[in-house]
Formats: sequence, C-alpha cells, structure tokens
Amino acid sequence: MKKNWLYPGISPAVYEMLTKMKLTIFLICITVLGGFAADSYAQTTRLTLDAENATIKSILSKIENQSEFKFFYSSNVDVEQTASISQKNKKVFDILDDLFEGTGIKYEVYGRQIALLDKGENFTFPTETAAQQKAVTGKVTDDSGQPLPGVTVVIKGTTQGTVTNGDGEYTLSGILEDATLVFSFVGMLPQEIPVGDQTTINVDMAVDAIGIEEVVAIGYGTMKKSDITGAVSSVSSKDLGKSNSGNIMQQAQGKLAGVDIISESGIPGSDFKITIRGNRSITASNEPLFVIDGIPTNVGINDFNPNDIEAIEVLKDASAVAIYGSRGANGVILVTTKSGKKGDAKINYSGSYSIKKAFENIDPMNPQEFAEYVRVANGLNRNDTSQDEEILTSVPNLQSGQNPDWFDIGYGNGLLHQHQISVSGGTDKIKYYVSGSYFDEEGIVTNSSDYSKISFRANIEAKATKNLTIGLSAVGTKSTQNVMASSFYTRLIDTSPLAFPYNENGELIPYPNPRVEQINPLYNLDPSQYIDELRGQRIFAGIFAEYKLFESLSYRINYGPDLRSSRRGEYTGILLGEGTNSASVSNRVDNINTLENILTFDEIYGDHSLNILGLFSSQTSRLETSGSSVQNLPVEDAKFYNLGSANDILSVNSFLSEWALLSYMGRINYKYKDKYLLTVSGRADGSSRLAEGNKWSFFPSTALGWIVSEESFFNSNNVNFLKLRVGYGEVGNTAISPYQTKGGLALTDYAFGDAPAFGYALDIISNPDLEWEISKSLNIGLDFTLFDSRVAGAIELYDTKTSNLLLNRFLPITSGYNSVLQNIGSTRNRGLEVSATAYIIQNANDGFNWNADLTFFTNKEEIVSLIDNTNDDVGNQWFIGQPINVFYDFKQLGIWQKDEADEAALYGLAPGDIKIADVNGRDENGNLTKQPDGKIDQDDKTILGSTTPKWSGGITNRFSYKGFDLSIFVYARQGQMLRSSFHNLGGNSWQGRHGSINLNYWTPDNPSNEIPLPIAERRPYFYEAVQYFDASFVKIKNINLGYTFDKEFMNRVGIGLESVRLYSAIDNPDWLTFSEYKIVDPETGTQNVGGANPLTLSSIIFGINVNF
Amino acid sequence: MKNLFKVLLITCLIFTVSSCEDFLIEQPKSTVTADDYYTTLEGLDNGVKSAYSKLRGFYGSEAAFFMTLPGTDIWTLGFGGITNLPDLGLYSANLLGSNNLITRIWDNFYEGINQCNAVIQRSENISEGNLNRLAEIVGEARFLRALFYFHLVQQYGDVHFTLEETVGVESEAYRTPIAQIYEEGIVPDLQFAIDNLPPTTEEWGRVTKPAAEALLARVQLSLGNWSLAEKHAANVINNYDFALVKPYKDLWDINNQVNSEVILAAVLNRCKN
Repeated sequence: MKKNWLYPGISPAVYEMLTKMKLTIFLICITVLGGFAADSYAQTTRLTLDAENATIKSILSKIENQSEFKFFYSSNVDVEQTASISQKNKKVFDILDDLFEGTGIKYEVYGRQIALLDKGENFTFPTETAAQQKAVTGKVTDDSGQPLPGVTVVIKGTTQGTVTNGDGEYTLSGILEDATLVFSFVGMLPQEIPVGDQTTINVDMAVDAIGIEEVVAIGYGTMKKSDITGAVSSVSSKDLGKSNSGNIMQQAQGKLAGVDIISESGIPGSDFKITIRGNRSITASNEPLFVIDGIPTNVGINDFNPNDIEAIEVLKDASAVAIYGSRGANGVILVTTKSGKKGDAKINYSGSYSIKKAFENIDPMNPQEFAEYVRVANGLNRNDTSQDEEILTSVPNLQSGQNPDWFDIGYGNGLLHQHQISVSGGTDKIKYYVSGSYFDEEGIVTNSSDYSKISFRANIEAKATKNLTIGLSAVGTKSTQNVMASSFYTRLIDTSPLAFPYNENGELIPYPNPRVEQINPLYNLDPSQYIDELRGQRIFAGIFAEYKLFESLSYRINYGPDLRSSRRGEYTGILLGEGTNSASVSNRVDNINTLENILTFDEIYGDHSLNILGLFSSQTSRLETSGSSVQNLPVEDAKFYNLGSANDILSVNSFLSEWALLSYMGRINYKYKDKYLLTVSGRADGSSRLAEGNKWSFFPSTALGWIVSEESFFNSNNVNFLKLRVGYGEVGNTAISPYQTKGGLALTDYAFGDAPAFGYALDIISNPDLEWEISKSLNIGLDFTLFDSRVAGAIELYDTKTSNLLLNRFLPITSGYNSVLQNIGSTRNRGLEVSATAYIIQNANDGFNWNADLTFFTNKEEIVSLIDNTNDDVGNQWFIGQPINVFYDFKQLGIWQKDEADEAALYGLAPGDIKIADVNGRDENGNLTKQPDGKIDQDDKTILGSTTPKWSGGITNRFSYKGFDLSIFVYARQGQMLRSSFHNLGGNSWQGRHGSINLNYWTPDNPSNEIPLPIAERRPYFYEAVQYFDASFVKIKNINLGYTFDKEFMNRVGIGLESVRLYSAIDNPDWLTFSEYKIVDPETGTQNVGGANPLTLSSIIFGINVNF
Repeated sequence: MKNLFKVLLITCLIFTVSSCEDFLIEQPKSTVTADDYYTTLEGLDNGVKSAYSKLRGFYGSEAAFFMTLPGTDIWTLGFGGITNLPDLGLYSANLLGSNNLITRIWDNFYEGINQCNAVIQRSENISEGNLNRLAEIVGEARFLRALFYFHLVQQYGDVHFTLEETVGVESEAYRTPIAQIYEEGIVPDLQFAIDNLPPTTEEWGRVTKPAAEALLARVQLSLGNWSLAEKHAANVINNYDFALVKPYKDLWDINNQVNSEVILAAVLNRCKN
C-alpha cells in the first residue's frame, strides 16, 4: 500500500507498455503537455551519476534503474554516442542538460516519462489507427471543463493503452466489450469505466482529493503539501468565484477551518473581518497579515480581484508563521495570483450580473400602530382618540389612511455587474498572465451607496539566462465608493409615520414632523444635499530576480512597491445641513516599500534532504494625510471641490507617520528518509516603533513531522497517508503605532478676547518600555488520506497563549490621564479544527459526481489576566476567564406584569417596567456578594454573552452530471450574541414621540414579556436590557448551478469557442437563513446591528464564463 | 572563483543595507512631546493656555449647569424628556456614578490640574528670559489649579489631591480631607497668584491679581473665615475699577460681554481658524 497512493493506477506493467508504445504517439502528448506537466516528481527526485565515456544509452538506463523515469526516443536520436558525467544529488533536468550538451539531443519531461528528440525533429499528429475489433474514442477534461492532455488510458489487466492528446482526446482500438478502461493522471483521481457497448467515453477527472503532491506556498518558498510541518489551510481557485463578491476573502468564507470571515457591513466595497483562531489581542488588531505574491500588506484587500487568485493558503500556527516574526501573531494569509502556463494563449472572459436586495424583515409602525403607541405612551387607552389633536403629529394624515412607509422609500434594489478578461500562456522562456476587470455595484440606497473598481494585472516571468529568472506580479486598481449617510435607516424608522415626506407637488418637506425638529431624512438620498465619496488608486507589485549561484544555492531579490492614495470628499447641502452647508476633503498617500534578499540552499545527501533559507529584508512605510473641512460655501454646486471659497474654515490638518522594519530570518527544513521532518526557524525583527534599546525582538519556532504511513510497520488498506505533526513557535503582533512610545502633546483651543489662544496640553504618557504582544503557540496536527484517496483531511489541536498584551489601562483620571498603554495582560485560545474533503460518488463518462468539503472549528477564547489575574476590568468590560468581547449588561427576565405590582414596587418599579434579574449585591464592607440584595443597580450587570462564536463551520457540496454542475454551500456560526439597535429604547426613542419598528410592547391588556410600556415622560428604566439576542445562524449561503457547453457542442452549432459555462446563483438568501434573530442578517462583523449599520444583501447572480 | 565573488557581492549588499541602524530611529514631525516643548517661556505659556481651555469644560457648558442646578429645589422638570436629564433632576434609579455629566466635570478638572502641575513644576527648569513673565505664568497656573480644586471639593467633597505632575503610570487615587486641600493647595496657590499676577491684562480673559483676590475671598467665605473674606472682597471692590453694569438689563446685551462688572471671564469665543 505504501506507494500506491502516490501514483494511483499506474502499475509497472503500464510503464512497460509505455516504453513499448510507439514514440509518435507519445510525442503527441508531449508536444501538447504545456502547463499540465505536473512535474513534481522530476522536481523533487535527486539522482547521483558517475560515468566515464559511456554510451548515452547506458547512462539513461542507469537513470531508469535509479528512479522511476522512463526514456523514449526515435531512431533519429543517436544514443550510441559516448559521454561522461559526474553529478551528485541533482535534479534530472540538470543531469540531462549536462549530458546532452553538444550532442544535438533535446528532451521533454512529462511526469516520469522523458522523451528524447533530435534537434529540429518534427512531429506529425497520428492518423486514426485502424480499428481491429472495436475502437473507443473520447475526451478527458478536468473538473473545470478544460481538456486534459497526457492522461493515461489503459485497458485494465493488459498493457494496452494510450495517452490523451492536446485536446484531451484519445482513441483506443482493439477493445473487447467486457473491457474496463482505467484513466489515470498524476494529481487526479483514477477512474475505471466498463466499456460495454459504448464507443465514446468522455471522462471528467477530479483533482486528487489529497493533493499531497500539490506544492503549496509556505512563505518565502514553496513546499510539497506532504512535507509541511505547520498548520496550513488552503483554498484554490475552483472554490473562489462562486459568489460575486469583489473581495477575495468573502469567497473563502466557511472553507478554511479556523478562519472566521464575516462582512463588516453591507456597504458596497466594505472590507471583511477576518479572525484566525480567535482573538488574541484585546486592544490591538486581530487581523491577519496578507502576503500577496510574496509582498506583505494588511490593507485594502478589496483592491485585489478575486478572479486573479490561484490559491489562498492560511498559515495558522506559530510554527508556520514564525517566519513572519513580529507581524505573524494573527496568522498569515498567502495569496498566490494566477500565472501563465506553457502553451498557446488562453483567453477567458467571465462576467456576471446580479440583482441585490436588502436582507431585512424590518416592520416599522404604520400610522395606526404609531397612533396607538403615542396614546399608550401618554397614559391613554390604545383606541382613545380624545387627545389625538394634542399628542399626534397630524390627525388628517392618520385619517387619510395612507402609509408613507419611510423605510420603504429609503431603498430599492441593488445591481452588480462585473466583467473580466484574461489572457495567459507561455513558452519555455516566458510565461504571462494579463487580465483586466471591471466591477460595478450599485447599492440598495439610491444615489448614495455604490462601489466601482477597475483593475489590471500583469504577471510575467522570464528565464532571462540559464541561471537568471526575472519576473513581475503587478496590479493597478482604481476605485470609487459612495458611502451611505450614517444612521440613515435609524432616521427613517425614527420618523413618525404620521409625517409624510412629500407635499402635494411631490417635493420633499424639509421638516415633515411639526412636533419634532428633525430634518427630512430623505435629503440624504439627494446628491445635491449629501455626498460621501471615496476615490482610491493603488499600484501593488512584486518584482523579483532569482539567480542560481551554484546548483544548490540560489539568490533571490524581491522588491515590492505598494502605492496607495485615496481621497474622501464629504458634502452636506444647505437643506440637509439645516441652513449651513459644509464640505470636507481628506487625502491619504501611503507608500510602503519592501525589499527582500533571500538565499536558498537545497541539497540531498542520501537519505537526508536539506533546505536552508536565509532572509534579510527591510520594509519602510510613509503615510501622509491631510485634510480640511469648511462651512458656508457660497456656491453649492462646487461641492467639496472649492473649499477655499468657504466663509468658515473649521479645520486644516496634515500628518506624517513613518515606520521601518529590518528583519533577519533563517529556516531549516530537514527530511530524513522521506518519513521524518524537521523545521526550525528564527526571525529577528528590529522596529522603529519601539523605543531605543528595545527595538529588536527574536521569534523562534520548531516543528516535527512524522509520516507514519511511510513506515514499514504501517499496513492499512483504508489509510493511505498519515502524518503526525507537532509544532511550537513564538510570534509577535505589531500593535504599537509609530511614535506611540514617545508620548505627546495635543493642541487645545481657547481665546483671549477675540484672539486665538491655542495651547499644547499633555495628552499621552510616554512609555519607552512598550514591546510587542507575544503569542506562544503549540499545535498538534494530523493529516490523513483514506479509502483510496477518496477522503482526505486534517485535524488540528492548538493552544495559544498571548502575553504582553497592550492594554490601554484605564487610570484614575486624578492622574490627569485617562489611560496608559502598557504591556499587561494575557489571553489564551484553544481550539480544534477539522477539515475534510470527500469524493463521495465518482462516475466517469459524464456520470453523476458528488464531492464535499467540510470545515469545522471551535475556539475557546479567554482572558487569562489583565492588570493581575484576579481582577476584572468592568469599565472596559474585560473579564478574566471570558472571551475578549462580551456583552455585559442587565439581564432581562421579562416585564413586570399586573399581578406582580407589589413585587415590582420593592424595586421602585411598576407593571410595564422591565424586570431585571437581581444577581448581585454588596455586603456592609462594600464587597460584591454575588447574591440578590433586593435592589437593581450597576452591580447587577452581568455577562450576557459574547460576540465570538463558539463554533463555526461550512459544508460545500459539489455535484455534476453531464454538463451540469451544482454547488451548495452551507455555513453555520453558532453561539455568538448580537446587540440590536432596533431595540434601543434609550435616548427619547421610546417615549411616544419618534417612530420605531413595531415592537410587541406591554400594555395593561397586552401582557408582553419583551418590551416595556412606553411612557412619555421618561425612557424605560434599564432600557439597555432588551437589546441582546442570540445571533447563532445556519445559512444556505450560496447555491450555484451551471451548465457547460463543451467544444463539441460549440462546433455543432458553429461557434468557434472552446467552452462556455452559464450559471446562476443565489448568494446569502434571507429566506434560507435560520436564526432566532430575524430583523436583519445575523451575520455581522461588529455584532451590532441596527439602523446605523448598512444592511447586508441577498443576491441573485447570472453569469457566463467563456474560454476562447 | 567566479561564484565566490558572487557570494561576496551579495553578502556585502546585505550588510551594507543592514548597517544603517539609523533606519530604525523615529523622527516624528507631526507630534511634539512635553520634554521637548515645555522648555521655553513660549512653551509654558502654551501649556497654561491649554489649562485655561478646561474652563470651557465647566463654564458655559450644559454639564456644569445640570450638575449644579437640577435636583435642587429651585429647579423642576419640564416637558422634553431626555433633554431635561431627568436622572439628575430626580436622582432617579438611572443616576449612576458612570453618568456622563458627573464624570465629564470630574475628568475635566483633573486633566486641568495635571496640566497646571506640569507648568508649575517645569517652570523651575527655566532660568533665563523674562522671569517676571515666568512668575506670571506660574501665577496663572496656580490660580487655575486652585479654581479647579475649589470646584472639585464643592462638588465631590474629599477628593484626590496632588500638586505634582504625573510621570509614568499612576494607578491609585486617594481621598484627601477637604481641609487639607484648602490648606495646602487652594489658599497658598491663590496667595501666590495674588503676589505675582499683574492688576490688569491686555488679553481679556487672562487671570489677574483682582481675580485671584476675588476667588480667595470666595474661598475664605466657604471656609467661614468671614473677616478674611471681607478683606479680600473689599480690596477688589475698592482698589480696582470694577463697577456694576447699569441698567441691569445691559448685562444681557450680546454686544456688551466685555463690561466693567467682569473680573474674570471664561472666554467661549470660537477662534479655530
């Protein structure tokens, strides 16, 4: 069993057959192999050869004896000539380059098969071979519908077979009806198909579930997946592109175990909140570092087009991320963009159009309900109209029976369309991938929420000389975003439904509600009254040169410029601004430069293989911001484009912030006998942000791996691959802002008479002792492949302790300072992650296929210590033993009912008031007793829940049948709580004056236990308690159904296209979301929903993907 | 040999870049620190100006009004719900120590006190320049410190008391008896101000000698030292040019803010321009 998983289906007999096969046939497949040559065997196999004046033929046979390589050659190739060679532990390419130098022989490698050709030899494509008994033809494609050349097709139990040509087609003759064809290809699952009476057998081959031979990025290099010792999750392009989000990470949601991806808000173009393995840091960022084609960044991930992404790898445990040192604590997301493959140009167009609607079930009060609520608030019966004239906005409006439905007027449907064209291809020397894309999303709030983006990418790699490779991966993006007014929905809901927005001429009424001085919120939709526009440009590139110094030593230099500039312009017109117009502009210019020098040593000594990496890098950042804001502009049309004309300048500001980072890093990967793996790394980071004498810090890591299935004692038919890993590492969190250790003064303003008297006040205490937050983490992992590679997965267990937390420790203000930033406190995250892929049903011949991916993770996040390990920080709502973000508030038991009047009176409350749990009190010394004390006060606040989920997971099911493909993604996030601002009864929102959603409130004849009686004179006591809800949800997040018209069909209908896939999808459908909280989407990054937060969207997508 | 050269070249490249330790030195341009800035007369003057700005946190703000009037028997609630801050007016169940107004006033004064402490202490390091002006700056700072403490003890009783600038982290606070705060803080500060401040100022709103005397009169009044109170008050009334505005309604003329009745004003003019 030991080796079988690696090369399924290719038995020694097949090799023998291949060696006997006519060279011409073999050549065909070689000429068209192009980028499909998964030559990892050739890349990883090392040979040692020593021969003096031997014939080439004999040297080749030596290679065949040492390895699984097989050679083919035609009679034109002179293999009898002699040559000498002396090479040790070299790749086959190096040996053959050396061997054939000056011999006139050239070679092509495909997998383990190597063809020798005479220089200038031409190939002819084979003509139909004569049918002897029965011929079977067909086409082999991969799961994206691309033809697969080079697939071995063998009649089971014989040595008879062939390989597919450049179009993935094959013809095999002399086949008996009871024969079974075996299709195999490295990196794909083998398939067996009984021939029966078929003469055409088309096969759709699935990528090998394990992908253990797959080479994945690990940071500053790549590695075979089977050799990895750290915890790495990955998602490839086949799973991206199912939804139509403009953000890479949204498309990976639920597909990466341990990675929590949640949309920040419903604003078109808004970012995503990404948390890997829980929150470690209390005040600093918990956002991971992105490394895009080798260049680190942590901002503006929206600038990268998801369609350009080849794969995303997430380094999760400290042993994997330690190479990123002080920036690695939150995990690292490595994004690899697409590159060209050797072969003819491939042109692809993909486009989609979607209709979006708000994910909401908001039910504002209608005029009748509002009138009742106002009456109740004023102590009247619901239907008592006697005082309507005094207490209601407009009795005629109520009597008219019309419902203005402010909320409904405020938004409509959103639209999104996107288009992308890419061209890729390459030769031996140059590979290219170039794409251009356009993305345009019109939000649901008319005129004031949209996002559009144009981006271009060029990825080029050239082998300049034998030893020098140079390349570029660059993207340029330009985006425009209009942001909705803050609290827009709140204002709509807040407005009395007895106030009508328009007068009889259809014009907006400035103050629709005569009882409340509140401007008509619909002015926010008028571009002459409200604009909040962001424009951004970005150029992000990685430029490299790699030089092979010796056979086993190469030097690489990476230079990564990242230029971002953005401008935000805001304007409020004179109507919305109630007599004053105002405008502001703020500009940001951000320039980060990364320079890396990398030396890589790679050598094999017998059973020992060694890879050593040395890195020196520097990174500098310069951020300049400037802005001004003004009032009373004489020309309204100028918006924010002529601030100088304003009568009043409110503020002018500019700021410069710079930082630099120097790093040295070393890593050793050692492998013994292909079974035992060891990784040791260390990184020293020097940062400008830390104070003198404190600048450098060191981050070590080590990890061990043991491929159990390679052991001779391991003998299991069901387990094909088993690897145990354990790793430990330390990483930092770059959480200190530039200049933060120095303290500083703040500008204050005052006046003496009419003369300005600006001053400089003490503001921040200097603290030269600040250090990075340090996460120390232990990870134990198990990688497995089961049942003939049909099931593959990984299980991870981890324990991360983060100490030196930067806390803004609150100080008694008596010191003059509110708080000081200190390295105090620690947190701990422990968790379990499971991810698995299963090929449940595999049928060839366009049959039914079903495969599924599962991810599940749970994480227990807790604060271990703050200032010490016993005292909670109630002011900040930080509690020892609890997750970092909790809701700490009064716990609602219900509403005091009529028959509880006496009991309520003990608390100074009455029926209709909120009933709060009395959970705590104080003894005579003022210490908390954790016992009821008969009164409700601040001490009775308690931890209600956390914003962090207890567990989360996703299941992706992919089905295919003939040309149809269907994927269904189910996403669950359980155990978190949210705060609903729709239920905020504070301020004066529940006093019978402002509109509200139609809440089920208590009245003497409606014994509700949810919402208190509205009272005109005051807000409800303990009003905060009613706004907390369980936000657990299960969603059928995405359903994508497509049909692919293949080339055959295209030819039949006379369209010269390679393939066309049409698809339709629904994304984030509200009707397929199951949650206790129903008013809006329970999936929220802030765990705070309400009228101030833009609504998230459900969409219906129509798309097309064309290969030319 | 050729390869060796290449290796050397790269090694050199790596180490030339890395030898720049300067690379990691911060040179802030947009921010300024106390140690750099409060070293000159101008710096200290700007320091005391920001202590003045704390006057705005109390005088002329809603916070001070609601803290001092509602809840007394001269104030009742009108219609207007939340805008009348019923918690303060009624001392209701919602009136908690975390109430924004209670903390706002408290925070404001302690920030002001630390600012004054900094100016007073750091003035000792300046030995050159116009030392009279320096004494005046210190006098202004001590006047403001006395005023802030005076409000604090009146509003909150025994409070934390310090006359030193906070350096580093100070995480504890202690109550000091009111009497000690008067004795060691308020009264000597005002006495210093009286001794060092000029009788008049060109800059309307700067603290003057009569302002310090008037405040000290009030302080003595609240301490029950009637004769001292009378002495300081009489001095202000008799020895300066202050006079009541007549007719009385002229006091409310928006164009008559600067008038003969004002001994010291918290200036609320907006001047951010």
